[in-house]
Amino acid sequence: MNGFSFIFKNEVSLLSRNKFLILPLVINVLCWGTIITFYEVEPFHFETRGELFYTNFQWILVVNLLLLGLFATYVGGKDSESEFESLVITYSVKNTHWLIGKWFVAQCYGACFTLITLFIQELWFLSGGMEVDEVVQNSFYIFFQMEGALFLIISIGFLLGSLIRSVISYMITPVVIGWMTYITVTITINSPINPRLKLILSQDAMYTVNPYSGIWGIGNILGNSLLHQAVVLLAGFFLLVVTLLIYRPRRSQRKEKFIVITMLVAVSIPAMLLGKQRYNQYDVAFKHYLETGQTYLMPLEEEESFYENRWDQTKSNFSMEQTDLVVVFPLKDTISVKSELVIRHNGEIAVNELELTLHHALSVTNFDNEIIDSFIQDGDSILVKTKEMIQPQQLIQLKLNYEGNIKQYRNDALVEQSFSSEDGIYLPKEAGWYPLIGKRKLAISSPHSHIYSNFDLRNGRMVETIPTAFTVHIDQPYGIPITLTIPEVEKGIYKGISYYGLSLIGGNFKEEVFEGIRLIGHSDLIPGARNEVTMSIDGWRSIEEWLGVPVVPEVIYIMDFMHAELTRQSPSREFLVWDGFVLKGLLERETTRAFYTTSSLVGDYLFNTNNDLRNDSRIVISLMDWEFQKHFGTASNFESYSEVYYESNLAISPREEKLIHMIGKYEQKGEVEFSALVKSVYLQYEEMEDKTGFNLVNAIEVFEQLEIEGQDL
Amino acid sequence: MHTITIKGLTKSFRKFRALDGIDLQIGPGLFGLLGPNGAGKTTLMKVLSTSSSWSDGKVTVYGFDLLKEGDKVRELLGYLPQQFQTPHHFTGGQLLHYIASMKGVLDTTERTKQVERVLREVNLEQHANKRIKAYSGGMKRRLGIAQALLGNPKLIIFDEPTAGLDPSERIRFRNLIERLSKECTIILSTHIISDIESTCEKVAVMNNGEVHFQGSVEELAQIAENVVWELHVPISEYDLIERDYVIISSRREGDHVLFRVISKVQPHHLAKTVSPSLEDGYMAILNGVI
Repeated sequence: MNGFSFIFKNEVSLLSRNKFLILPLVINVLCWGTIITFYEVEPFHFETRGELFYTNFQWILVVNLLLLGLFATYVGGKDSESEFESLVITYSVKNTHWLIGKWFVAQCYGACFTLITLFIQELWFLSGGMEVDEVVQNSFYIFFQMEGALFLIISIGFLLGSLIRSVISYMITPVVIGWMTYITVTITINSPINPRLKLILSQDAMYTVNPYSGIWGIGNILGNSLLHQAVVLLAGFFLLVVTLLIYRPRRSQRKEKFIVITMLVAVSIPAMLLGKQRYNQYDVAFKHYLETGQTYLMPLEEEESFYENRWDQTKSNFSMEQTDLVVVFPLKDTISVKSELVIRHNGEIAVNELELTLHHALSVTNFDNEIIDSFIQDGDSILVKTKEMIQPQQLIQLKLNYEGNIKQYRNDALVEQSFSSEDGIYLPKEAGWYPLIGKRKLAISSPHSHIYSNFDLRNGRMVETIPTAFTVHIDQPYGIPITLTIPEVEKGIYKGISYYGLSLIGGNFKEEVFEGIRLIGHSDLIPGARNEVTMSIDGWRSIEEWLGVPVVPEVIYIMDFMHAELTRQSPSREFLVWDGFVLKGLLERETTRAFYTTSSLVGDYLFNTNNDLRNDSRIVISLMDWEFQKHFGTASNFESYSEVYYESNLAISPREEKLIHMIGKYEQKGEVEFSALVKSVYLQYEEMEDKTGFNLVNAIEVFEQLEIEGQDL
Repeated sequence: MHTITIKGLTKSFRKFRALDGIDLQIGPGLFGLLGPNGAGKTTLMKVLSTSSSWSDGKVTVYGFDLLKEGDKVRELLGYLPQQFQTPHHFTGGQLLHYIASMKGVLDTTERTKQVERVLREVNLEQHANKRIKAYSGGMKRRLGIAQALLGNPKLIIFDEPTAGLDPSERIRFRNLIERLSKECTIILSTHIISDIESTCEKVAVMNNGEVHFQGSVEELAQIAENVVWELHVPISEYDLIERDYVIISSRREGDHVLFRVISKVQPHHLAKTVSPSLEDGYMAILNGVI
């Protein structure tokens, strides 16, 4: 045994006699026990075990950081405070042995917190049915996240305790942790602060999406996280070496000093190199994001439409009748696609060119020379010129091969919009990974002075006017389960007709058909989704029966909050994306369910500059909502619709008053008449190609006319 | 032969000079350092024990330059500071084992042997397995002496070692250092003159950061030759004598008081010179009578 071992052994022996030190560990176990118990007794879960674990892990970690930071300060300074140190420095023990011995004790105490957390995590995940190799990967991730953070904070605390001989040493650690927490909380998506600052946190908190909340698990971010934590660990070592260097330098022997300086260099160089690499990783992604924002920056005159929930229904004289794709993933984040498109010319005059939309990072490598004369790929747009004129109603077949990098970012590059790796694949329709008909806006960016990037970026809200028949062959090398918004008919082949289009996901999900709906999500969330479908299906079906429009979705993805949010902006009835918040919100408030359905039926023009359209859409939504609430039996205590409207809208224009009066007449006539009015108004809205031309006064007058004429509504 | 040589040692705390050009030569055996509170004794002890730096001067210990070869000096050193604080969760035995390992005694057998020996030396064998927090003040002081003896030091520095010791333990301590002084250099810093008188051969007197005397115990006593007086006066003159002379001691005898005073001149026509003691020499120096 050398001097260091003796110091370590005796300091462990000394601290183990302090019974208070067991208390924080017991509190940790109790906290976790409470969290897990509350989760397990719930009949349905709205977050995965991993998600709940990580959400709580983050605040428990902050508390542990505070405790261990202060503990390390105590360990570093206790002998100085008690004056035992003034005796120790007269012994022949080396500075390095004395300091490292005590520092290591503090680190071991910190490691106890990590080990307890890992033990609880593994036990819980395994009992929840998670595969052993996945549990190991998760534990690996949590180990580095937690140990890295604790390692650094203990080194900071120890440095302060060893070098500052006053109570100030105990005040700095909480300030450091408070500052780190402030950065974590403040620098969220679209904040005015440089998001690069997040890189200086003691744990990798770069991704705002909880890595456990979706179907991709932590594999997708493990590499970056390990790199970050490696820098954090090296920073911890660096601070230890600084402590060795500064602590009573007169006591250090020349050889000892040489070793310490060598250690300082040995730690600093890899820390700087890895830190630079980590910085570059995010910097490249952030610059990519900035470039995207600039690319899609809208002209000032269109700016007001950014926040408007208007569906993009770009008119095209062509429609995509059929899309056949053969998709290969040659490299990480890269796809290579052979596409065959059947397009109908719906116009009235013959033309020899048509426009397609494909993300600009995907380059067309080959095209069908028999039909295509030439093409120009400009940004997301492909202008195809045909050799012969395309006659009205003529079907043409185009063959295009394309490939490229599909990595895209949203939200300050803190969220990946599309990617492919061995742990997960995400190719939403909005990523523009397959040709869409017409010139479409895949994304819209609006100038915004209160965001660091100076713009706000959202996905395009693309709605097709006619469905497309898809056949997709997928050859993916990763071996992970994948699925599409159309069903798999045989291994690797997907076939179906979809209004929405294609959204491809691959990862750790479970797929089951319930009430004719394909439910796709993490196995922890499927029971909750099934329950929600059970609660909603009668309502959906009766709305279908009442309005004669399809409402029951064909496929529901259950994804993490951020990706669900990105996709939710693309309205579709056949394809829904839910996340835990949606599931929980729907279950907790029955009234929300009605509103949720309403929003999927009627576009919200809340931000439209046309006051009449804005008010009319609001009235239609509230009419539908009132009807559905009555259907679901969740209507409030209000007697009539007009009462509800007057109660929920303070400033009411004369035109609105007129409309409410017109509607009120039908409510007085009876429920059947009122229901017929709402249905008529909605169907008139639904049938309009350009919804912005909707006028509620006209719609009611049409209904009145039809009623007078006794025609079928 | 001198084992410790101090030349022009100066240490300042801002404007205050705690040590002011100290010159001392200390040889093997027991060396006493006398001085009132604030004289600079503890500061000097801290410098010699390598726990404190200094502003100027040179110190060599057994031929090692204290500034450049502090680590070598620490290998020779045993030190009991004035304030001996230890982690009280340990037992006495455990603490001594811990300290022995910090002093480089890593071999378990040798360490056990040394710990048992020093516990025996300070009469703490019976209490070796008792937690330090249960120790009395005297026991803690003896533990402090024990730790200083670990590692077979060649230079032992005791700063106020007998404070809090009962008379029997004090005698035991005197005997112990007497025995140890045959093999090493022991510096005993105290203001208890009897401790020095009964054990030390050489002594130095410090006051206000300076060395005012360095020599043998006898020389220190001799320095007060012909300036120590005894006088027998009525008790009514007590205040007068106290005001005008340095009183070493006074004893009441009926309605008279017997004074022992220091004075260059005969303080009273009835005063008689007496043979000086070590204390007289010390007081004479401190009060500037000599």
